[in-house]
Amino acid sequence: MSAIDSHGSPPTAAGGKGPLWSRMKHAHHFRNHDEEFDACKLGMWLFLTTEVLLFSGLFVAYAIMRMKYPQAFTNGSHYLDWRWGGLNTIVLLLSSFTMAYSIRNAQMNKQGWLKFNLAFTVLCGALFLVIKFTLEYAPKWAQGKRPGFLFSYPNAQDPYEPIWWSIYYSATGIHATHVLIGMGLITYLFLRSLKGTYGPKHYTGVEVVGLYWHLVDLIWIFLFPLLYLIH
Amino acid sequence: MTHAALIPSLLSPADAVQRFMFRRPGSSPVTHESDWMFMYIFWLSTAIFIGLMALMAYWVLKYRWKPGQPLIRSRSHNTPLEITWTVIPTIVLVTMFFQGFRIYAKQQTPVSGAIVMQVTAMKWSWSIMYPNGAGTSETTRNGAVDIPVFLMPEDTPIKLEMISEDVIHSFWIPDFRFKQDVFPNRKTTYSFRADPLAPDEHDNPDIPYPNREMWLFCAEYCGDNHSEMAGIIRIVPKDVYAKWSSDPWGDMAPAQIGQKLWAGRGCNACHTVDGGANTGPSWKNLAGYESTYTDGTTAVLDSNHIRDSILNPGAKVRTGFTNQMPSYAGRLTEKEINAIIAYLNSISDKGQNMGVAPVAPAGEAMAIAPAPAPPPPAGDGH
Amino acid sequence: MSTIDTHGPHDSHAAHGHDDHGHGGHHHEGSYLTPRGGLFSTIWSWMTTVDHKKLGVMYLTAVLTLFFVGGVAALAVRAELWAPNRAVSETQPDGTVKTTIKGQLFNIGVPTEVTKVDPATGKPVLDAQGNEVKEWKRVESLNSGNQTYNRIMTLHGAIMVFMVIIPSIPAALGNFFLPIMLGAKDVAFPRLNLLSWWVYVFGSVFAVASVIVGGVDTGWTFYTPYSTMTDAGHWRVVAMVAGAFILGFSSILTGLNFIVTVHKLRAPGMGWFDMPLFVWAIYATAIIQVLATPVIGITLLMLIFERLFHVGIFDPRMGGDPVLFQHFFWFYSHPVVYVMILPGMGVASELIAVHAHKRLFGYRAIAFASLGIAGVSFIVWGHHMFTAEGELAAAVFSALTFLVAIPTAVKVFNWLGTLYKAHISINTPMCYALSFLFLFSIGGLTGLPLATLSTDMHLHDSYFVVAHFHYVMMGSTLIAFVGGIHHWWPKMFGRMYNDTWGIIGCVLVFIGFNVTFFTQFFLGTRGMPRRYASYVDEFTIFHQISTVGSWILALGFLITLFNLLHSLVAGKKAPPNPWGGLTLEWSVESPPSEHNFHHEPLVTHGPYAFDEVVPFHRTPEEFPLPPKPVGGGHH
Repeated sequence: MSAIDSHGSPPTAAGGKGPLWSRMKHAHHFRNHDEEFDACKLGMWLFLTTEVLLFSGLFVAYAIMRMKYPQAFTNGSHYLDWRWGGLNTIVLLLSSFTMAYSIRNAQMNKQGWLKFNLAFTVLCGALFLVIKFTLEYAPKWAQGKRPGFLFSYPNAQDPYEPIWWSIYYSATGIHATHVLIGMGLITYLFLRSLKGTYGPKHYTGVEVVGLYWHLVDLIWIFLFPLLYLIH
Repeated sequence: MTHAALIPSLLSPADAVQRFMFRRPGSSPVTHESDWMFMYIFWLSTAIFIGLMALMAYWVLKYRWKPGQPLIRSRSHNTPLEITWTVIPTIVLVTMFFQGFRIYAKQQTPVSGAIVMQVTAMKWSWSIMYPNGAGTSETTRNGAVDIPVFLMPEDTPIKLEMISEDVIHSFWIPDFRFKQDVFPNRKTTYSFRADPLAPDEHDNPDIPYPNREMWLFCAEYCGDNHSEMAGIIRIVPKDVYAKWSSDPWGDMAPAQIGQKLWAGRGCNACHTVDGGANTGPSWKNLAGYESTYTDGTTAVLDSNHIRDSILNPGAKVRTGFTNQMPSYAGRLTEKEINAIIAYLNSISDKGQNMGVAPVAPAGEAMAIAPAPAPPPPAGDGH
Repeated sequence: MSTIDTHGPHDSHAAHGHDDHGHGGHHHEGSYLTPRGGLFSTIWSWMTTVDHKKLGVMYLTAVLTLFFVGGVAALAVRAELWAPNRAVSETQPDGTVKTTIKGQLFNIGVPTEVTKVDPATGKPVLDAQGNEVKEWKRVESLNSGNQTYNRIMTLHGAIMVFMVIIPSIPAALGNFFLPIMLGAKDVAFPRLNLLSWWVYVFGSVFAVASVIVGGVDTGWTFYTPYSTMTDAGHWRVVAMVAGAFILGFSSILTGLNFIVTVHKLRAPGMGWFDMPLFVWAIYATAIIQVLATPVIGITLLMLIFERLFHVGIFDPRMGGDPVLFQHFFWFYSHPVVYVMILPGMGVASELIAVHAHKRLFGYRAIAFASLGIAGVSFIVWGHHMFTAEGELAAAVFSALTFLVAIPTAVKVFNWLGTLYKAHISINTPMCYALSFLFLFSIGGLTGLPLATLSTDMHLHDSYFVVAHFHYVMMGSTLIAFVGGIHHWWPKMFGRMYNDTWGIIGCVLVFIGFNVTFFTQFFLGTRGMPRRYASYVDEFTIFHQISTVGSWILALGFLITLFNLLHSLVAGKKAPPNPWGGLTLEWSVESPPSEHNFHHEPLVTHGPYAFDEVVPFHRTPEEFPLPPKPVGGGHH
């Protein structure tokens, strides 16, 4: 994605002075640094559009199946514990905050805070996944609350509950994949930030990855009520 | 347009084009309107196309250019002209939409008081259950397979309620210029009223009474034998239909009925009767033989076992096969199941004597692989 | 342009670096094709290149290779349809009757467990315990022959749609020329561009792998529940669907790259309405790619889940809805029809303007029509399901579908208007452009009875549809693609091909195409359903004419291919501007240097302002019109 192209060329002036971020040059085919920054942001916004459309497919499937089988969805939602979902929402919101703050840190050249906030964001993502997998997926899977043909929960109240679990696992699974990818990107930022790559004149990478991370967060904000809070 | 007006010499050129286009006229009142609609679009498009291409050819020839000739100054656009050629097509297209929608509404409107029949589609055959609960008793050879012939009365509103056993199919009778997809999870309908037969109309000359035969095709891709999933709709006089529908099987012997059912209800899509390989086990030398099953058991195929396999095909699957067969519960009467059992026995050298003469294998089709060495003729084998 | 200076015609010293625009002595890097280092380092430098031109050439090679594979599959399909299936019974010498199926050319059989027979005695082989020995053999039957056809038909469809037509013009020609036409050194994200290429290769490998291990018989549309039930237990369908899913990523990333490039990297002086219409078309295409492809992504992903875990969303047995899949599928795949045709329209605009040496009539109308088509394309998907959806939905989608016809008609009128009082050179690219106009008009007009509800009820899923979309997809897009290759070949590879043989190839393709596909309109109206491995006897003559046409078509393409390849070794060196074009790619060397431009160009005239720019008594070819440098400095 844009992150791949966002960090400009490696410094060319051997033995140059000043921190690394001040020596980063824009890619040769851009006229100046601002143009590169704008292009990367536009690219990331376009990519986010595609992400929204990807998930909107899932939301449409959700809407149609819920319209057909409202009882299965209500039952299914009651199997979920809104407290774990709520905790995960808070974790992700917190990580979005630290991500936003790390951009500010880069702009203000606060290198220590930048590293801390990036690391904190990754840890929040990890915590989200740990809660999701160990406290939500694992027990449900063990009880037989599985998608489609794998469904074997003996106390099902509605014949179409397997469809609910299909939607649940597809939606949260694809979202979790996005969290994992985001964590990878932020880890990459963190490693580069250790060398002082990002600073007031060069923070495109942090900015565009931040946009991506906010979208991942936003999708969860939609998923949480649709899955956990319906009656 | 009546079917009497088929004599080529009386056709105007426009009618001749229409005949070439559609092979023959539509067979129900609404098809005449939809054919008119098609020909209207066709002639309009042809006129536009010829006009455009003539202009193109003329200008290309006239404005050939050789290097060295000076370039003439040209207009970049001409707003009134461009608005004109936007607005005129728009008006034409709007009228076209409304005409099309008007006729479509007629096609879709079910006729009140129609005879309701149940259509079942499955890989790869059609079956129709008539109001009296019977299926069709007629088949005919088409290419490599036998296909069912469905009798329908002339000039009578018919409504088909259609469902699929497996995947999506589509019910298309080209002569009715209409098709409707058939789904596994909800019923769809197909309504028509065939034009009255002309007294001299004999598509099938072997039949004593007037008749019109038309193709039934599956139009939605459904797998291997999608292209063999055909049928024939035979429009017959009302009295012929009434007589037939009161007693579809007549005095046929059970094994003969069974053979008709094999060809007409889709058994032939998967089972050969000459030992050839196919999706399902061949029926040749099956009854009375012992077979092994995927669950490790073995059993002799007796009448009860055949009946169970028809009604609940997945319960026991022979080794070397996977279960692809839909259940026929509710789609075959007990009499029809008995007929199939009789047919299986008649073509097995260990078959029970069901009190009827063996039926010569009808389905020489379906087999490419050479059949096993021919068994001795069936007799009092046990 | 002020740079119409001293030099005369170029043919003698044109190929590399005419050093005549007042900046003598500055460096020339040589063309982008010049090898750097030995064989292996050259191959490595191509594999890892971020140069949009090399990526364009690699896409071109891959697309043409896959076009060849898909074309062979098409010939196989046509050959199989030479005769319908029929059973023939013959009496053997020993008195038994043996029945064989005739009319199946290709039949690979299905693996079946059968009793092993000793060929010498003709008796079953027995093991030590006296049991019959079983063996697995490929057994041929009517089903297996039809299945072979279905797999070839699916192979043809999937390769042509996902791997040939969608990337053909945007990824091959677009990659090469979009940045140059904008006056840019590269696309906005060159490394992302390289990633798109490798994703494309990766996805194609998946799809081709599924074919190598036996093929898929779902049809390229993967309709459920057939696609989730067929070939149970095999991974081929999953591999094919995953291939399509991965190819979607490549498409998205390429589209995204082009949008940003158009927005951010236009040369100074190039406003939105100074862009060549090819760029407009690629831009509109890119918007569709970015907005529609994610939906097929999630659809195919759910289809894979369905295959692997039977999640049931599309499975009627579990309460799912198979028509939901069709809605999802066509929500993407209808816009993608315009991903296929819009770039073809863009190429046609270039060909007609340049080889008619005339300002395109109604430039803005064509540009807006591209955007209009892109917009409307998102709300017409339901017309693929007139026979599957409710009456109200059908009526709405029919009305919306007619909307597409308006901008399309406007474009055709504008192209035609351009020919009026033009200065037309009859050469290979122009022949392809005229073929395009002819075939696209038929393709467009035959869309009318398909958009009309009452007539579509008859024509839906018939050969009429097959003929219609081949006129649009192949007769228009691929003809424009081949025309574009001829138009830009001298620029891409620096060689001129033989024009006479080019025209002969074009005429053969044109004739073969019409013989093949015009016949199929009548097959459709007379009642022949599509995707049939066999047919009823009365259609035989039409199928045979169509098959003969496919041979003429193949001959035309082979002549064209040979002509182009021959030019690489024996063609004359190409001047920078062999046709007299005014867009920026004609102002650089043939082939272009590594960074396209030695100076950032300054655009001072419209892309087709021939009559303003080329002075009296001069021919356009004499004016390569080098771009005016910005500020005179190097970059």
